[in-house]
Formats: sequence, structure tokens, C-alpha cells
Amino acid sequence: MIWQSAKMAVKAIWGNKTRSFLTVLGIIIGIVAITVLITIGQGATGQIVTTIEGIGTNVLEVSILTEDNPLDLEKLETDLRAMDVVLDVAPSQNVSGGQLKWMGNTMNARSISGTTPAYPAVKNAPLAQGRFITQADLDNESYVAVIGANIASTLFEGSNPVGETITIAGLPYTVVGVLQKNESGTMGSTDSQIFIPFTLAQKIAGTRAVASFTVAASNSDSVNDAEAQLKAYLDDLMPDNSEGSNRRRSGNMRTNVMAMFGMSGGDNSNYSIYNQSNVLDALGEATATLTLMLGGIAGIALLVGGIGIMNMMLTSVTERTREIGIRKAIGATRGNILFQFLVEALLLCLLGGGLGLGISALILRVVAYFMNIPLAISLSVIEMALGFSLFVGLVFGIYPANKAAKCKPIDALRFNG
Amino acid sequence: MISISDAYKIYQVGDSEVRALDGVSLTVEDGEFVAIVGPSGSGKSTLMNIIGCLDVPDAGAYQLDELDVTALSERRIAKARGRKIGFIFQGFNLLPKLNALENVELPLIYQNLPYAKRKAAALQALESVGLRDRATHKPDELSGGEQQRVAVARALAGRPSVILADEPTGNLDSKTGEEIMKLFHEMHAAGNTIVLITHDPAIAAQAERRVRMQDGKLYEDSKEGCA
Repeated sequence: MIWQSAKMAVKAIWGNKTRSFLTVLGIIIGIVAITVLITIGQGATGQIVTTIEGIGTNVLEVSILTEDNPLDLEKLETDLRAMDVVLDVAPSQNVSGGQLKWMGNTMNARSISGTTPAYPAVKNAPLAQGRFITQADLDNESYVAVIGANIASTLFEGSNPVGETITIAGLPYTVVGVLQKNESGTMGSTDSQIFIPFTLAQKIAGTRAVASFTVAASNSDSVNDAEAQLKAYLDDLMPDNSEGSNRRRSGNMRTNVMAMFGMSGGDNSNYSIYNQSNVLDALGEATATLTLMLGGIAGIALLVGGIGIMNMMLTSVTERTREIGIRKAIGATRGNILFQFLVEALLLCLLGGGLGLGISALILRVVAYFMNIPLAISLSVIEMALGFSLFVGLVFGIYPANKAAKCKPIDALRFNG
Repeated sequence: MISISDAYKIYQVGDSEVRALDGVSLTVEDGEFVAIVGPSGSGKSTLMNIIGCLDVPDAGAYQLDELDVTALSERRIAKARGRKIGFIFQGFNLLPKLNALENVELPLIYQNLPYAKRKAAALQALESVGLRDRATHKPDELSGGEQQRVAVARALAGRPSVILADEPTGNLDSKTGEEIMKLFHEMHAAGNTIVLITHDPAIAAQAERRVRMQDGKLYEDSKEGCA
């Protein structure tokens, strides 16, 4: 019976191709809207999340803001490595960049930072070639450099940089290693960076204090514990003794702005901590809301499509009164007729859903090409699209189907236009 | 067997009431060929609707074989209609998008007959009206007489207790009408019970028994052998 009804429905739909297509168009547009919007939303979110996760969700970036900074390298390493939730700590000291030279080639370095051997593990930045900065380099304040992948390819144009001597801002450095290309995106990428020993950078900058460092928590679950311990430690080390309402107010405003970007300094204006996992949480919430909103708008399109289906089905019931009468006269029950028209509405909607998904796939391919992000319709979106179409078919098909089923055969047969 | 006793059907038209059936009793034995005649408005269509289980009387009883039709649910009546009654209409009433074979199959589908049996029965029914070679033709590719023969095959396919025909020759020229009437005689000879509604005395004369409707009442005309 189901098979027979489906066959009858296909015949009815096919017998009226133009009208069926125009009716289904509403569903197609609704499904395309839902699928494309949600998939683009998911794709964009996915890319941002990948970028952030590439930097590491277990890391805390700390900046010391006060001039009166008691932290030096030895104290930092000793105190932080003593904390059980801290995996390791890597300080960084930026020095101004300048022109890079190797053989005849030159380029400008935007960023040169001094750091310690802990850096590759803390920042998840593996080496492609050579070695990273060692403790001996720190002790000797050696003129050695580890370069990012972009610098290696631009400056050395394919030849092996390890062991070569380059000139940075007039001083000669020996290249000892090259970092792997960072695929996760531009944010925090090491591709265009140059690393030198931390002690050397401090000497160039003329300071002994550590103003900026990255802490890796032992895993992404303990990052909030690590943040709390770090705060307690820093509060103890440099208590915020700024009074005065003016200072307090501006401090609060700064705290609010920082909180939006996942930073927190607590009430202490002497330092700030940037926590990646906070950013991820906030981002997740924002995109979930956005996706829901887009889905809602697309849902309205689907609703309009559903009303179109109902309209056509009602017209079809009126037109086919005689057919319904004949079917009833030769033994169709109310249930048979109801089922036949319901299957027709469901098939129309499924057809719309299927075509909609197909068109969405094409549109997403084009969008993915131009936006240069991977966009694939996820299984859950396919399920949702088909589920929605069936739901619309059911909701908007039941009334016309019931109307058809209720036709009295004598009235129906009298309809003898 | 059809047994209607003291059936009433009253319609309210504006302020006046129309007694379409005014105490009608009719018994049709198995294998009988009965013609119901009467002018339009006499109530013969109402009687046909009740015999065909398309309508129920306001009062009175209707026994169709073992079934007390007036006591059945709508669903059971629909099932009984499909199984016990074979309709033949004046306007053929074939479904235009189905071919001849599919039209004949339709009542069997509603009886949930399995595919192979259904096909065989439908082909046999088409064979019996001489249209087996037209099985795949759509109604609009068939002449009026052929369409009516498909309708006859459809009525026969489900092996109903009663063939109920409403002016079956009304839309046909007299020669084609004769051919259809020949089919009726064949059906009768094969043991089918036939109830034929007509206003044409010449057609009615071919039945073995004639009853006449007049103002909602039924009169027995005659009971004689096949003309």
C-alpha cells in the first residue's frame, strides 16, 4: 500500500511538472537558505577555532605592565616551574627589527624576540630543521638565530639556511634552526618571526626584567587552575597599591575591555593575563547565537514554502474531487485517500529538500572557492534539512489530505465537470 | 443478495422536504438482472447510492449478503463497497492518468491483493471484455465504447456480489450501447447479480425484472424471462 501510494504520488507530481516545480521552489529556497547559512557559519567558526587551538588552548599569555617589575629570568623559571599545574614557561623579549641580509638577498624583519629553550614546547612550534636555542646559547649570549618558515623561503630561496650567517640590523648571527610552517593561520604565527637567545635580547634592550611570558598549563583542563595560581602569585609579588577613584575607574574600564578579548588582570593593574580558552568559550557562544539566528531566518523561508505546498495541495484536492470519488466508489477508505495525499505532500517536500541540498552543495563549492575556507555540508545539516522538509510536508500536507479523505463519494462523483 | 426494507431518505430543500425514498423495500436475489427505471427526480439515483453503499438511508434496513450495512462504520462500509459492489457509470469514470490495466487493477489494490494475483485478475477481466490488447492504453486513447468496457472489466475484476450500473449506455451511440448490453447479458449468464438504473425503456426491457421508481416509491413492473 505504501509502495502503491508512493507510485501514485510520483505520477501525480510528474503529471503536473511545472506546477509541482513551482510549488517545490519554496521548499528549495528554504532548504538552500538553511543549509548554506549554517554551513558557512560552521565553516567560519571552525576556521577561527582551528586558528586559536593552533596557538594552544592550554596557554596563558602574561604581560607585566608595571615599571617596577621584580621578575627576572631565574626567578620566573624557578617559581613557575614549582607550580604543579604549570607545564613550562617561556619568556619573550622583543627587540626592534631591521634589515636582514644573506648573500645578496635582503628583507625586513618585523619581529625579533628573545626566548628560551622552553619556547617550542610551550607554544607548540616544532622545528623543521636544525636545533632551537639552547641553555648554552643563553649562558654565552651567543649570536644565534632560529627563523620562521617564511623567512627561510624568502631569504634563502631554497638553499639550506642552517649554519649560514645572516646579518640582522648590522649584527651577524648564525642560523641554527628553522621552524615548521604554521598552517593554522595568521594569528600568532611564527612564520615571519626570528628568535634569538633571551639573554642576548635583554642585553640589546638593556633590561633584566621579564615583561612578557607564556605559561603552558599541564593540559587544557587545568588552564583555569593555572590562571588562578598565577594570579595569586603575581598579586603577592606586585600588590596593586593604586588608590584614587580616578585610577580605579579607568582601571575598571580597561578590565572590561580586556575581558571581552579573554584577558584578565583581575583588580590588579600591574599585569594582564590572556587566556585562550576564555576566547574559545566566548566565540562558541557568539557563533551558536548567530547560527541559531540565521537558522531562524531560513526557517521563515521554509514556512513560506510549506504554505505554498498546502496551497497547491488544496487546489489539487479540489481539482481531483472526481478522482477521489471514483477511488472511494471502488473501495478506497478514508485512510487510503488520506495516506495518498499525505505521501504526495511528503514526496514533494522531500524532493524540494533533496534539490535544495544539491543546489546548496554547488553554492557552497563556489563560496568555499572564493572565501578560501573548507565548506562541507555536515551530516547533521543534511539530516536537519531532510527532517525539516518532512516535517513541513507533514504539517502542511495533513490538512489538505484530511480534506480529501473527508470528501463524500456521492458529492465527489456528482462533480462531473 | 440485496434486501432493503422500508427505507426512507428525506432531503430538506429550502422550506420544503423532498422524499427521495419514501418507504422503499426491494429484494434482489443472487443472479438476478434487475432494471430500475424512472424519470429524473424519481429517487432512483438515491436508491442506487444506497444499494452501492455510497449513502445510507435515514430510516429502514439494508442487508447486503451477510452485512447489515446501516450498522457498519464508515471504514467498514468503504471496504464492503470495494468488495461487494462493482460500479459502472454513465460517464465511465476511469482515472485519466492510469492505463486500462491500471484502472482495472485499482479496486484490487484497495483489496490488498498481492501484485501477481492482481495483475492476473485484471488481465483476465480485460480479456473477458475483449480488450486485452489495449491494456497499456490510456483512457483518452480509447473510444467511448472501449472506455466503458474497461469500466465493466474494472467492475468485474474484484468479483463483486452486485454489478451496479448507472445509465451505462447513456453516453454511447446505439450500436455501441448494444455491444455493452451484450456484455451485460454475458455477465448475467455467468451468474452475476446486476442492478441497472436507466430511464430508457428499451434498455430496461432487456432485464429479466423491472422495477419503477416514482416520487420516492417503488413499484414492481413485471417479472419475466430475458427479452
